[in-house]
This record gives sequence, structure tokens and C-alpha cells, in this order.
Amino acid sequence: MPDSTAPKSSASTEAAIETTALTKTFGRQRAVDGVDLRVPRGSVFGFLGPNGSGKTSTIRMLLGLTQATSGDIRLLGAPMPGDLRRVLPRVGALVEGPAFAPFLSGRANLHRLDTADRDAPSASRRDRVDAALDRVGLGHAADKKAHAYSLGMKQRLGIAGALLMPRELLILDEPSNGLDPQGTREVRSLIGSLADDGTTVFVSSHLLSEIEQMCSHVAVMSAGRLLTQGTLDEVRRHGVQRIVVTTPDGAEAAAVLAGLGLEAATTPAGVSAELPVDDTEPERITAALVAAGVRVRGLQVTGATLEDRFVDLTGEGFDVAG
Amino acid sequence: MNKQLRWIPAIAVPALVVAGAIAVPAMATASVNLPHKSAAQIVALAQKSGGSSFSGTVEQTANLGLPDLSSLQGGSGDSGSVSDIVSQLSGTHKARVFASGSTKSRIQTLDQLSERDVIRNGDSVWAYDSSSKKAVHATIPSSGGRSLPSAVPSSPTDIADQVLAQIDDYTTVTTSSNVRVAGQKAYQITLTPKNDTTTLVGDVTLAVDASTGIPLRAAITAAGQTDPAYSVAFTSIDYSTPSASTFAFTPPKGTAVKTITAPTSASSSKRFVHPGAVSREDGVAKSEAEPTVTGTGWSTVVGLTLPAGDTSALSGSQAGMLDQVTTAVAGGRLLQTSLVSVLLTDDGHVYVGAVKPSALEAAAGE
Amino acid sequence: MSQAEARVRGGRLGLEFLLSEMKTLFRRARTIAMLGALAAVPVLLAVAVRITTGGESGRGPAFLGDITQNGLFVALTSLVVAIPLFLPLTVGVVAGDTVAGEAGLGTLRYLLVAPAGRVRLLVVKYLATAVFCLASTLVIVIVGAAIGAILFPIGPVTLLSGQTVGLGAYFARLLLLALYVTVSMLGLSAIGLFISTLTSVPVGAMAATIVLSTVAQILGSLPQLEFLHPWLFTDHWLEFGDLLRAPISWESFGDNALLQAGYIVVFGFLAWGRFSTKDILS
Repeated sequence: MPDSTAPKSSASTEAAIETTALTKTFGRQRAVDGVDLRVPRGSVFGFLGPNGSGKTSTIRMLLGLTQATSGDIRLLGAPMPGDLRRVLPRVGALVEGPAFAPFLSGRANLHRLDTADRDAPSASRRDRVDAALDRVGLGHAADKKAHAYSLGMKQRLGIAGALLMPRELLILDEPSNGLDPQGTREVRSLIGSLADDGTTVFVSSHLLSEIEQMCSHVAVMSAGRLLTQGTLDEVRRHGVQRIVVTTPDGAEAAAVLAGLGLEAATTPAGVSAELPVDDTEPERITAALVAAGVRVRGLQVTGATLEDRFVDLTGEGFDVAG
Repeated sequence: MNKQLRWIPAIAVPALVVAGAIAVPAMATASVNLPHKSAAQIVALAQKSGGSSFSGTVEQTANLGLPDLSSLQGGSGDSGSVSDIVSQLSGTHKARVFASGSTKSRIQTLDQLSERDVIRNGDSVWAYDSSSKKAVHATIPSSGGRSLPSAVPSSPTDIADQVLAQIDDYTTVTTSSNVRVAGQKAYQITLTPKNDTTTLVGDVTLAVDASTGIPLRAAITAAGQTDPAYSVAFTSIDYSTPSASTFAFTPPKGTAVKTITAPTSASSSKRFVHPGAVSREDGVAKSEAEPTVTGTGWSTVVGLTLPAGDTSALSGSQAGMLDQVTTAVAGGRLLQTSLVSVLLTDDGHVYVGAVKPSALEAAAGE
Repeated sequence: MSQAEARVRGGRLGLEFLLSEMKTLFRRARTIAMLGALAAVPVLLAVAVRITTGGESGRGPAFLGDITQNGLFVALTSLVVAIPLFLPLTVGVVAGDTVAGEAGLGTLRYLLVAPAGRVRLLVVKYLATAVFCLASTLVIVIVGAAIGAILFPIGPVTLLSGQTVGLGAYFARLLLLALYVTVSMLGLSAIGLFISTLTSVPVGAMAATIVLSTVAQILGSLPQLEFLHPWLFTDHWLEFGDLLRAPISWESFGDNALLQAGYIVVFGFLAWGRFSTKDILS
């Protein structure tokens, strides 16, 4: 037992997940294209992207289910899939929806998964299965056949499967898919409590609000490329902010903005320009405009939310309904 | 990259098996060193091998040019029928042979899910067919030969007995390279009919165990052919004495037992050249008349009279089969194989010999 | 590292995993139905013989005529009937389902993430199939002997060589026979395992496996292809009669075991070559 903390602390400087130029092609299509992902230990990491953006393809490679066309993966400090046997017992996963043998009960399904893990001690198997079922609130339905489970119950059973053994890393692909609002809240609080225990949680989702509510870090995928990653604040701040000036003196305003190094575009109502990150504060622009005698009717800075940032990055609207 | 390497074992294993399948027989035929013996010495060695004790498995392969009749072989109940003999004369058959001294022997013809046994224990001979549940019991003079009556030669010993018996006047014997048969070192002699234009036999090659003199392989090649038309060889042999119980036989309950008189030496001596008629155990009982023998040496022709008069006694499927394998000739029907000819005359006679059909017709005309 | 070592010792041999897979297999309604269908073979056969008294002898499968005298022959006749079709059918279903079935359900990815280990999963799946082969053969033999004993008189059994053996010796030979038939099915199981790694549609893998067993039997019946026969996995299927001789002829048992082992090695490596680097996309 005392040893088990030693590798953990020594490895804590390493990322839980680190990929370098990770690429996966299917035929001529690049499903994942040069992704450099870095998931710090102890984070709750949101992996955002619309459907088909390469999230699940990335997760399959992380877990050794598919082989990367090129690029490297390190999971918990060890190379994948080279050290798969050593790494995966420390990783719990929910990949592309839950799947179970429909003719077995929920309990028997978990029992089977636990037996498949060659590192899982058999003596405490029964207790582990029961604990995992209780943790996701399925204790009452444990002996029902899996085919009789609702989608939400299957989702919870899937999460229970990921929680059979103490894990250092959880990779959850769309964990709240199919859950009602109550279930979604439960999953969120479950992830929170797991993170409090020190587990790194990597959650993929297309539900922006989910990610915003529970994640400390976020990465955004689109069309196989990783667009941005960092802490939630960093990503928000790194958002491309625009300043929109409503004025009848469009030409003068554009000149002032140009003087500040901004490339302004004239609109019917005035001008708008992209704000460089961390550089030109809106206050300074306002002052300069006023000093130049531009009649400012309105001045607005946009793109500060994760959603705007996401729309900016992907050029797509967000499917909030899921 | 190393993804391709994963297929190497799956390719290498069959490759090794094929290589082994080629190399092992090649190694077996690699030169076998034995002290030199003349042809006469090898013949003498083979002739004094009688009375040995052994058990072994024998494989018989016939390639007589008979049409394939497997589809016509209906029920397995007709023991000693035409279909039985025809099937024995085509394809590959396995038998186990046990011998203990000169008076105890047993040949088990191993058919799929059935078995035909010929057991000799002293002067008592049993023939048993498991599929028809019939047994035949005969008592023979204890001075009889070591081999047993059977429709077709089922052991190399059978053929060796035949050809060595007539070796003096009609046969040229030459030696050929030593071989390894059933794991044993063996001398080889080739027996060729001497001054005989009538026989269909090209030559007979015998492999004789260098230490025991037991013939381990016999191959008969038809005249003008290169591959043996008929060969019988041990695939394994063990020279320890089989247990006495091997030669004990009590017909099981529900078996129809027929007791017959001993086959005469005349009818058994030429067994292998007349598979169709005579020496099958119950065939012997049917052929009431003594066979007539014409010709000499390799071109001996045996004539028989069918008991019921003609072939109409055969059951429907057997008559159909006869029509398939025989061709109509003047005065009867002819069965022609590369090694043996059989003439069934319309008046109920059968002439058999390892000869050209014209010799049979000549014998029938006498 | 002591904990890690203890963990590794926990299930390295995979015996528990095998047990768990066997439980999964035999708890499945489909498996039970197939075993039930196999059990129906001797029952139907015995009942049919019982109600059609005085049937012609010499027709039908081997040993059929012996049944009325001795009910214990029901087991043998049922095997003769089941070997060409019913057994390969059920074995094909189980073997074809091994990997493709898991892929179809989506459970394959969870087993691999567990991690079951790809080679270990293949081995365990194959062994579970082999156990099914034994179980299906035993079902035929045991049900056959039982129904025969109920419907017909039983007594000492006559072997092919004419010897008569008592019940104990007969049952020992029946067990040997079940072993022989089980071994006969192992090559087909390996083929099924390989085919199963090629697809995520289990029905396709099952059908392909069953078709192959039929094709091999057809090729085996064509005399023109005699050179091919010793290499067909079906070549020795019906030679189990060699165990019913006195003394027992072990040659075909050995030949059969060697042939099946060859198929296991070749198709085992093929399955490994395919599965160890396969992208699991289901």
C-alpha cells in the first residue's frame, strides 16, 4: 500500500494524458489530425467538439483500441499502446456509449468485466461489484437482465464498470448521454467527488454547459484538429474578442482603430475589429475614439463566453439540445 | 511495419508442414545401407519368414482402372457381394494384421464404422463381418499355409506367397535399391514374368524386411504402366507376439453363423488373380464345382461354374453394378481392369486371370 | 510494486476469466437451445426406431439396426447422424460468435479496455468453445445412452471386431469416443475463431464457418481430390469407429489429433495476426 503513492507522486509532474502529433486516417479521411493533447493530473478535463470532430477516434487511440497512424501517446506517464497491460488497469473508461451482454444481469456483466481485468483480485470481486453498483445508484436493479435496462440505467452501469477498480484516470465519452436532468446532476456530482479523490477525469461531450459546469480544463476539437486547450479561464480569455463600434463616423473610427494597430472593417452601422489577446483593452479604444471626436453611439465587446469561443473556433453553431 | 510481422507464424507453420511432408519421405528413401544379398538370397530370406510373430497396420491401394462405384454401394449388409469386392479393389483400404507363429493370425479390414475379420487359430478359421452380422467358420488342415482365404490380398505376405511359389520356372528376379518401409530396413526384389506375352502383370516389387524376411510391401505394376496398379504395404509393424486373446473368436450374440468345409488348396493358391468369384469365404461355399485351371505361371486362368446358373441371381443393385463395370462381348460380359480380366459367360461360367481378355475367351472355348 | 505484483498474480492464468466466459456462454439461451436441439437428436432417433418396429435393416446410418437389440447403440447412431451436420452447425455458431459476437454487442471494447489482453481474450474464447464442443458431444452420448436404456433392452455391447464388452468398458469407450469427436471439432473451432476476428457481424462469421465445414466434407467425398483429403479437417471425422475395435486402433485418434492440432496452430496464428493489431471500431 505505501508504495502505491510513490509512483503517483513522482509521476504527478507528468500529464495524465499526453499526445504528440496524434493522427488517425481512415482511407483518405483524416479523422484525427496532428493532435497535441495535454491533460494535467488531477484535472477534470472537458473534451469538446461537435459530433464527428474526432473525439471518439482520439479516445479509441488513447485506450489502445485502435492504432494511431502516426504520433505518440503517453497515458499516466507510460507509452501507449506499448505499456497497455500496465496502464489500462489504472484507467476506467466509457467509450461510445455503454455496451453489455443483454442476456446477463447488470451484476453479472460487471462481474465479467472485472474478471477480464487480470489485475483485479478475485477475493474482493463481489464487494467491488456491489460497491460500483451502489455508487451509480443501481443496487436495486443489479439482478435485472441488461436488456431490460433503460438507456440511462445502461449509462450508469457503464460508469459503474469504469469504477470497478480504483482508477487514476477516468476517460468518459459522453457520460451524461441519455440521462434525465436528475441523472445528469448525479453524474456531475459523481465526477466531482471522484476528482476530489485525486482522480483525473477526461470527459468528452458536445454539451457545452456540462463542460462549463464541471471542468477545470477544456480542449476543443473540430474536424479532427485540436483548436485550443487550457484551463477554462484561459480558453475563454483566449477567445477571439471583437469590438463593435456603432457610429455615424465610420471612416474616422476606422482610422483611429488603425492607429491602434487594429484592422477594422466598416459595417453599415459603424466599424468592427478583432481584439488582440491581452493587448488592447476596450477602455483605451473608447478613450482614443472619443479623443478623436468620433461620435460613439455604442461600443460592445463580444466572444467572452465559451460558447462564443466555440462558435468562433469551429464556425458552427452549438447543438445545445444534444 | 511490425504489423506485417504478425502474419509470419501463420505462414511459416503451413510452409514448415509442407516442407516436412516433402522432406520426410525424401529422407525415408535416402539410401539404406544393408549388407549385400543376391536376389536368390533375398528370396530365400523371404521364404523362410513364415511363422514370425508380429502385428502391424497395412494399407492397400488399388488403382485398377475400375469406375468409381461408391455411389452405387447401397446398404452395407451384402457381405461378399460384387459391390464389396469392387469397393475393396478401388481406392485405399486399411487393415491390421496380427500373426503369432504359423498357425495363428488375424486380419482386420478396417472399414469406416464397420470391420471385416478373418481369424485363424490353429485349424479353426473364422470370418466375421460386423455390418452384416454374419460369421463363417471353417476347419482347415493344420498343415495349411500361413495366409488366410480372402477375396483380395490384404497383406504383403499374401502376394509374396503367390509370386514366390511360382518363382522358379516363370519369373526373373532382380534386386533393386534398399528401402525403408514402416520404419524397417528392407531389401527390394523385382519379379518379372519370363517369356509371357499373355499376362497383364508387368512386374511385382517386394520389399523384404532385412532382419525378419517378412515382406513389408508388395506392389504389382500392370504391363506397360509405371505406377503400381495394386500395392499393399505395412505402415507400421511391431515384432512382439500379439496376445493370445487376439486370436480367440466367439461369434457375438445375434450373428448368423455358417459352417463350411475347408477351401481346397487349388482354389486358394491363386487367390489374388480371381477376386470376383472364388475364395471369399461364403463364395467358396457357393461354388460347388471344382474350378478348372488352364494356362501356366502368370497367365493361369481359373474357370468356375456359378452355383445358381447365371448372374440373374444377383440382386437388382448388384446386377446394375455388373452392367456398369462390365462390357458386353460375344457370349457374355467382360470385366476388364489393368491387372485382372473376368469373363462371365452367358452359360454361367466365370473365367478369371491376370491375362488379356483374349486368353479368357480362349479358355472359355476349350 | 508489491501491490502490483499481487494484482498480477490475481488472474494471470486467466482461469477465472475462462470460467466467467464459460458461465456467460452456457447461461445464454441460445447455447442452451442448441444443446437441447442436440439432445433431441438421440431422442427423436430412439423414438422413431421404437415406433416403427421391424424396420428394414441395412438401411440408414451405421448401428441403426442394432438399436432394437441394444439401446446403448442409440448413442453411437446419434453421433453418426450428428457429426456431419448438427455438431458443426452448433460449433460453428459458438466459434463464429467468439469475437464477432462481442464486437456486435460492443462489449469487445470494454473487455479490451478492462484490459483482458487481446491474446488472452482469444485463448479464453477458444478454450470456452472447446469446452462447448465437449459439452455438445457429451450431451449426445449421455442422452443417447439414457433414452436407449429407457426405450430398449440394454446389455453387453458387441464391438466392431466381434468382441463383446460389458457396460463399464462400453461407457469407457463412449467417453473416449466423445473425446475423439470433441478433438475432431477443434480444428473447425479454430477456423471459426479466425473468421470471427474478421468481422463484427457474428451471423456472417457463423455462416462462413458452417459453410466451410460443409465444403470440406463435400471436397472429402470427391475421389478426384484424393490428394487433398489428408489435409481436410473433416478427413477423420467419421473414423471414431476405430475406438470400437479390439484392440483399440489408436492410429486414427493420433492422426486426427495431429491434423486438428495443425489447424489450431495455423488458424490460431492467423487469428492472432489479425486480432492483435485490429482496430476495434465497433
